[in-house]
Amino acid sequence: MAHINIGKAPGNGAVLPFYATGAVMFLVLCFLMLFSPETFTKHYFTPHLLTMVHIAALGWGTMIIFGAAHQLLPVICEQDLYSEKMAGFVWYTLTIGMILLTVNFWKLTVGWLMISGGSLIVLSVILYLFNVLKTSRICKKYSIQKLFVISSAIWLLFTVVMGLLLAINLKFPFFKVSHLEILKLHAHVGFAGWFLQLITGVSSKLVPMFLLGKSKKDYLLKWAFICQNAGLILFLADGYFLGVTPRVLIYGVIVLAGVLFWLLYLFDNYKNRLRKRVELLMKHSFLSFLALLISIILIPAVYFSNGYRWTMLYGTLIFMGWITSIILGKTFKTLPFIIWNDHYKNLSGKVKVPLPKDLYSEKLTIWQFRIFISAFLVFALGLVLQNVMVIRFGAALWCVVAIIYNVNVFKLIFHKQKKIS
Amino acid sequence: MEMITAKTKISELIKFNSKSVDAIASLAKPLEKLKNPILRKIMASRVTIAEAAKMGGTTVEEFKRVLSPLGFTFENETSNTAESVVETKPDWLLNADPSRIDQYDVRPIIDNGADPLKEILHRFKEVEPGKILCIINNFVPTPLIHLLKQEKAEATFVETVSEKEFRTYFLKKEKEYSHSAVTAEEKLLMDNEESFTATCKRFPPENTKTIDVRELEMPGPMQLILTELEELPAGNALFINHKRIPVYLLEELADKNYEVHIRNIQEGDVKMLIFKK
Repeated sequence: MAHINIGKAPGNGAVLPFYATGAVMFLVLCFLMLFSPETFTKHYFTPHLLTMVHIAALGWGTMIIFGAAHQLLPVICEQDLYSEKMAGFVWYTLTIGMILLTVNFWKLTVGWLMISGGSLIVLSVILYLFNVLKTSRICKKYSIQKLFVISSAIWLLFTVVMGLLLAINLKFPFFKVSHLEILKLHAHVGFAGWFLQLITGVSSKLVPMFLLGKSKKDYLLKWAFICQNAGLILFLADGYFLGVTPRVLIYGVIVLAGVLFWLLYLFDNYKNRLRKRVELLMKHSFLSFLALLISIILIPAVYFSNGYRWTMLYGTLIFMGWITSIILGKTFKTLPFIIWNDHYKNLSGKVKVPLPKDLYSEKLTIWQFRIFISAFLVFALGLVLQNVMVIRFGAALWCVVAIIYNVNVFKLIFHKQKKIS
Repeated sequence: MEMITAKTKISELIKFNSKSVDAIASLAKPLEKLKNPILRKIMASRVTIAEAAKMGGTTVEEFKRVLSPLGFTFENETSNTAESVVETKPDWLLNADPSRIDQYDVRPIIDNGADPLKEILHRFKEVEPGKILCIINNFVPTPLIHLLKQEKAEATFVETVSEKEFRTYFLKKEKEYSHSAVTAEEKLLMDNEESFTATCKRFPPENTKTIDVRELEMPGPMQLILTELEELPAGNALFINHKRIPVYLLEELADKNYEVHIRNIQEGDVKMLIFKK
């Protein structure tokens, strides 16, 4: 059996701290939204919004993705994680970097602390990319998914390096192009390069696994890859050299095509699935895809309208609708198994053990789902009306979602091994 | 002289004297089906005289009348008048929302001379657990009632609308996991060599199917295991060679009534035994 390669799940040090920090940061994010709702009625380039966006992108989205990637990559590639120590180390640099950066955004103290925060984040991403490349090097299967995961990590590096340059630019201006123009590029490399391509790659492996679906239409994923990257590269080149013009709409359409190819692939899996019961995870994913599509369709409104309501709604759809929804669902599809494996895999000797799904509260995930929908709708309504009271009420609902999520995540993390017999 | 009662099976009558087919068929139109060899096979062994009388909308007395000339003697037993008392609708039917009952009129199919059994079973499969299917036809479908009561139907009730219209209600069982959830934690066992071997010995080789999923690409192992389990005959076990504990499979099986034994020998070598509880 020597030819069977089997990846060992990495130690929990490479996974759990990311989940725990991500959950806490989601809660922090929601409380910040609750205590400064007026932020969402102003320009997007304000200290408070910068803070919130970076907590959402780094503390919440990237944190959970790093944890999940360290866990899933060995499973998908059937290959041990190249370096567990490096993965554990990335948590320190990312967490400290993220805290330094966001605290200094909040107070808008530009300077070395902010720059070192940015540098730590760049270091985390370099190490993560290195680990991903080394781990997937021998992985011959799933070429297209691997391609997405690697390209997303490269785009992430591009994003954070750009971010670091922007942080330096605040203290020592050197960009010839307007800071705000570069900021737009920075944000969209993050969206379309990092989050979109990572989620496309991972979901096109996980969704079929969870649904037990089969699709032979792999060419759809190839086109998704080509369109997502072509749209992004054209947008960047055009935006940097000629400025952001209505041509962004063309690139938006190309990226949208890339998204549609991917969703068609998932839909084909869904149609051919063996498992008929549609679980909460799939409902969360569906909402997340819907939020993504609406956000792309909103781009013309963001571009042409005056004021910032559509920009705010656009960002909210991306962070709270798309990324948050997919994490809320997928967490309880990955974390219980990590914890279960850790506690029960090596038990031996006629021991009755609980099932993975007994380790967290399913009931809470149902409430989490319901309140998530209302939180999103109320918050979005507040943004469109630019009404601080409604925004605050929406943010309060977000806090409830975050609390429920945290309770369940920490119930899992602090699970004590129990034998039934 | 053959002694019979209202509880004698139709198949016994036919076995004793094949002319009884014609005799019974002459009694009522629904009973003419007995002439069809396939339908006879389905019905005759499952249906008693009393039930056939009910199906045909006729009486046991009538059966007595046509069967006596063929050499049958009815044993005098306590009369079955009690059976003819109209039963009251059971609670599950009274409490059900009439608009949510799936009505299926099979009379056109029967009039065309076809057997609607397949269609009915298919239709019943689509009915949600805890919901009701109502079959409308021109006789009491006793064989169907027996068939569905064996596994899928929780309860049944026949409502006689007229001599030509019988409504049979089938209450579909709730999904198994709703009552097996209590014992969910009892279904997963981590074994050592000794206890695993002991469990395997409970199933003789001819009742154990062995599969190896180590070479399959994900989600292949899970798909194969689930397919095999679906086809696994009752009382048999599935033995699996796996390279890891398939945690996602465990969740999938949690809703079904399986007992899962896992022997984690080492990284890359996991044996499992799964069987219906």
